[in-house]
Amino acid sequence: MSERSSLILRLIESLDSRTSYIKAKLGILVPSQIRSLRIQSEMPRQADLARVAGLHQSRISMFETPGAANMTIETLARLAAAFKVGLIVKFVPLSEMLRWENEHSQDHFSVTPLARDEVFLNPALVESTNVSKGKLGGLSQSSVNRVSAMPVGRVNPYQSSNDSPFQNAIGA
Amino acid sequence: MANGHNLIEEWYQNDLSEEAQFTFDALLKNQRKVESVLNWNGFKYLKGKPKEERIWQLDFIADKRQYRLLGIFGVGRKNAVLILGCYHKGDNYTPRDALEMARKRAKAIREGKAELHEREIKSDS
Repeated sequence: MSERSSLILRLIESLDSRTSYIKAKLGILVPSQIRSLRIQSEMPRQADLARVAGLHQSRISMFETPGAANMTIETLARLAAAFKVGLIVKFVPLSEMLRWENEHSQDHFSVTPLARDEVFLNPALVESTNVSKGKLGGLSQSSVNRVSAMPVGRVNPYQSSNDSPFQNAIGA
Repeated sequence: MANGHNLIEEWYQNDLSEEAQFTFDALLKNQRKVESVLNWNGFKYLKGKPKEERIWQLDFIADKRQYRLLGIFGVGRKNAVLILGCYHKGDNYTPRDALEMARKRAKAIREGKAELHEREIKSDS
């Protein structure tokens, strides 16, 4: 049985395995986003973010530690508020969770803060601008045509690159 | 010394819970995509003698345990070599001589006396 088949079987059969799997991914992706947002923000030091969020600096450090999934929704909302961004917590298929993980890049992760969030601040203006420019929901007509012309299933969104920079040392 | 054992894989298989294994896999998957190691979550160079030998530590938490991965970089920091997995509580590493073992292994690698195994990062897909 392949490693992937074995994983699927465990996930199908065991509540504990599914819990561990989901916790592990959240435990990496949530701290990664917090760190990325902090570094890009006006509060690049943990102490600054802690002060704005009304939390202790040691807790910010803990929230950024990989695997630190033990955060309440209250805490996440407080951090989102400090970053002046929103937060979505929604239940999704595991395939969607895996796609999120595969597509997440800590280096490129960014979220428009409230002050620059034109769609939120002035949706009517954004909509009228798009209509006058021949745009549809933020996409130009030509890009809509291109998207719809793409063959279905051409890209596997779940596939991530496997060129591993990690090596195991042995034999010491 | 180079007896063919893949010590990191043995640690992974024998000492890590399922949750810790999933977390370890997800951690490597995420860090691989981060260009600068200084932006790796949970990354730091160790202090004292290990620091002089450029041994670093990567922290992660799973099943309420503080795990530590110790490693060194290969050429140009594009190759991360994991040399020891352990966990940490209070001021203590388990195994207790983890740092000393890491220093010996780092030395063996740099002197070409230990063999490296490429680690495939699991994509789950």
